[in-house]
Amino acid sequence: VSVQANCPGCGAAIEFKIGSSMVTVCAYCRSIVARGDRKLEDLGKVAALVETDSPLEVGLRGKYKGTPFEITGRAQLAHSAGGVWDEWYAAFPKDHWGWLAEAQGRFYMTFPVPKAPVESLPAYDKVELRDTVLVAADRELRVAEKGRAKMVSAEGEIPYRLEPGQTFTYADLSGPDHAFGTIGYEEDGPEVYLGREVTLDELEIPKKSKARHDARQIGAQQVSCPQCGGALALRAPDKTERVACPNCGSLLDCHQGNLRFLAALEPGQVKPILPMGSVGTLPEGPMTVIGMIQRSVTFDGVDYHWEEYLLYEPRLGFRWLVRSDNHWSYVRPLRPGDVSGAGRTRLYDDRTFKLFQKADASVTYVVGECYWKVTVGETVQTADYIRPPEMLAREMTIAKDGEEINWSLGTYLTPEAVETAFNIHGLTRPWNIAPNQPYPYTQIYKSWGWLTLAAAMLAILFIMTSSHRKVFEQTIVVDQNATPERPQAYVTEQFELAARKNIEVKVEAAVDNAWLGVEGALVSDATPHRVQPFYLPVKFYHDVEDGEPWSEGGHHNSTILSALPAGKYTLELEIAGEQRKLPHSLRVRVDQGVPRWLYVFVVFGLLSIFPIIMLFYHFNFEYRRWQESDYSPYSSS
Amino acid sequence: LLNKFYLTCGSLLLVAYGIMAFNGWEFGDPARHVVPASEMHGSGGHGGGTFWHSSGFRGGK
Repeated sequence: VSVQANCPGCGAAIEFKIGSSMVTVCAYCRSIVARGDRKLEDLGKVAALVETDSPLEVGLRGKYKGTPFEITGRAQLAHSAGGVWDEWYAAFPKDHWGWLAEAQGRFYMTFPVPKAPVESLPAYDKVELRDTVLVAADRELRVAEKGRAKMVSAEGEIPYRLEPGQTFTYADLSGPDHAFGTIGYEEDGPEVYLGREVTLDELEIPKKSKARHDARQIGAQQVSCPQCGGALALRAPDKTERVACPNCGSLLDCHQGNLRFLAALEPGQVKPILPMGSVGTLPEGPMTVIGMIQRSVTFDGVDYHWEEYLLYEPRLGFRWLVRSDNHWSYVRPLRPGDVSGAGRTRLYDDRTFKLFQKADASVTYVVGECYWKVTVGETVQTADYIRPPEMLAREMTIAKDGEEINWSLGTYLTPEAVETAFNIHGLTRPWNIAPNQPYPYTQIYKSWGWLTLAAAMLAILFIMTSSHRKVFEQTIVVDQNATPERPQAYVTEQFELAARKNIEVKVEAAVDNAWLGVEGALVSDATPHRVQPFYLPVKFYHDVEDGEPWSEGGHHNSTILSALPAGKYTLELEIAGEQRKLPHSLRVRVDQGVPRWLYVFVVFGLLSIFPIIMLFYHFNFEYRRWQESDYSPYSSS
Repeated sequence: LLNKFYLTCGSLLLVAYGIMAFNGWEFGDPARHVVPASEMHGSGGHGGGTFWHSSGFRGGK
């Protein structure tokens, strides 16, 4: 099906390899050549390609869900906020085409949806960020961005009639499970493209190409400031849209490493704690600090500032390290479609985050490089949702030439962790509690759980092996004249006591409005005699007063004594009470191996004291955290 | 650090409980004493009236 021809612009050989491609870009003169029914048409020239450091290239073959494709061309589109992104065109069998967009190191494969419900799609002017749009019979996605893009360059074969300088009006959509879509607002009506975010591995891109991409190292390109002539380094020259001169403070527009003066910032107004170019080992690996933006919000007339350090690593793209009140967070971007929920909660990765604060944040200072056309005074609407140590942050940019919603996930880092990451020391420690600062002592609750479990198992072990048994029991006839001055002495028969078993001595007597005391001892048969004394009073009183019956005491009493050495023992007792009020008899019983639940509860109580104190501290910690929020669950309003 | 301190104290408490339970020890036993055989009275008794002289209890509600 390949068609060979000559470029109408320069006469060089051109080729249409794919039967369904509409245009091809002449590799020599950069003319876009369209094929019609009878002749070739020169649509005009495009600029040279912008170096985007992409791992993809025309001619590369891969697979998507098992179906092979070949990349035949690409268009480079300029974003209204600055920067360009590549849109690659993948030719599949049977004249099917896929749109493979590449932006910020991410890849999105989409396909045209011929039967999309275009009648129900909102007009571009009516599309609002976060709106849900029905893009297919059973598919709803959220609007993440809307704007206009301009084609700046192209190469290879393209499946539609692309004209130099052509502009595109679009709304990008995002949904769960990496779903992605675009509504292209064309002159003849909206067109829907649906697909998902993909990785190079999923596309089965040849390893050589991927390895070359992964092996890229960040290097500094030395340039001179057009304002002061001082040297400055560009560490991401193909991505940077703005750079602030460290010498004179000028904010410079940067396009492919070419600098142009934009605005003067007061030099040295904000001194970055992390120097530009420093490399830190962060949770996703080593990253280089290439810029810093100071932002502020105003509450009750007071400005609150924080710093956002822009980190760059070619394989990962951009990340942020945010320093606020000397608290640090490592921030990575999220797909808007991965965040759901409404009201004061948001759901991400099955984790629920609570709304902490909403504000309008403005850029107040810039140091180093930035990947969008940042300006001092630029404002975004922010909403922070927390689930310590994480924070979901939403930023909405509303500009006349486009709207965008960005979600990011920040993870709390201690100053010590930042010091270790950058091999520095002396970072100021925070004095307050950050929105996403984790309570530092939650481990104590786990420890309490483990210790309590261990105590319970010990208790069960000892109670199950206690072998509770009756050792001795006897009924004794009580001398009715036994008084404390002349107690009745009684010595029992011998009985055996086992070692390492506690001993319970119990006395039962039917006293009635009287008392009876049994003092005695367990006396060993072996010499010298071991004597374990005890005292067991039994008293029971009852009456009726003012028509109300009352009673006090009972008919039995017992004591539990520590284990004695194994051997033969007798009970030596002295019984006394009130004359003529003594019962006729009493019963004495000796048991061994009595289960001691009391001690289990005492151990449990002692184990719980410290965690309970820490629970109060935890509550206070959370209370103080939420004092900084307008949405505190501790507030009545 | 606090967690380590708590774990250490808690573990010591469990060890103490284990030793106590294993040996059948109890809190608050009246003091034991040892009486030589020569001081024991006949038929195994070690002295009528011995206990009540040391106790102050005389009953009552």
